[in-house]
Amino acid sequence: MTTTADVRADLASVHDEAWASLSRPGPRWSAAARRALARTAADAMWVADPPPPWVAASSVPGALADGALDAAPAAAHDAAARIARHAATLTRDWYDRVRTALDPLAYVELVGVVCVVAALTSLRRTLGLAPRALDAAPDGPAGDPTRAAPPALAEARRNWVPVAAPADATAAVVQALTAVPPAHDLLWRLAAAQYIPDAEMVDPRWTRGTLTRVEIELVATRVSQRRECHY
Amino acid sequence: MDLASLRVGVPHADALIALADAATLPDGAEGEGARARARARLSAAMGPRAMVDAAAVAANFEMMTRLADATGALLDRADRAEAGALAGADGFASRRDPDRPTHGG
Repeated sequence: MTTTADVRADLASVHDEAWASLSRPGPRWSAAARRALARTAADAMWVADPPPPWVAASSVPGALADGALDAAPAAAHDAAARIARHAATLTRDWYDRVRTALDPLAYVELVGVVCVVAALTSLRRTLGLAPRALDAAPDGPAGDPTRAAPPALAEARRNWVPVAAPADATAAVVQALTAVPPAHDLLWRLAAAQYIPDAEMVDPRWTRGTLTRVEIELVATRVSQRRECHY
Repeated sequence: MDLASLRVGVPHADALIALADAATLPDGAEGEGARARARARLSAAMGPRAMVDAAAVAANFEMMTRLADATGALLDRADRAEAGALAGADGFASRRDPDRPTHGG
């Protein structure tokens, strides 16, 4: 039986940090909003019989937790649930409609929340560990959005979302969250612990002493294929 | 190329693929059983540390696939063609090609 003690210390540490981030404020969303959106994403991500992609989560009785709509607007919950469960079906048209309801930087931050939920809940489920409860969100001003100023932004050819300037100087996934630096930094620290540290990416012989690079890429490719991710 | 039937000559590939597949299954008895069997099989084949690291890779790509799809990430033209032609990914729902735009909700 797997226990949390079997998880590498560096991996456990960044997962603990990422889990805590879900109940802390971000640049555009309050702590309560991030926590509620994380809950919506987690609930939608793994449910056995989800509504189809075109059905908004907010229109399904019982799909959102009590109080969810007090914390964040329906459009944000609907986007979180859609990304969580039906990401491969997303289109530019869908994003353009979401953008009429959500500020683009709020959307990028929301994507970061869903990505963190995906990684953290996936690892626990695959290892057979019990689900983890979200931390309480701080009340009052401590939970308010940080309103941290974004970097200089640019429209990208390789992504729908705005990115830190200059656009398209790096791969699309690398620049995807750069408009919201805390989300970008956390995601890539998770990737370093879960997959391969960025500095080692060019070395096909790199290993932690457990899986070879080929074995790592086999698992990566299989999950990407199961999720029908063309990228 | 048929990704579903591709075999690449990696020792323990079947056990690694079984864990990756089980990781993506939804809640329910089928998924829980598949994950338990995949954990035991891979731990026996490669050791518990390797099994945990394989689960972490699966978690990473649950994260990265959503990142790519939710931000409309595009490969360069040559890589798009390669992914489609060699890996058969043009049939994926998430195919994005600015030369052949898709529409829908």
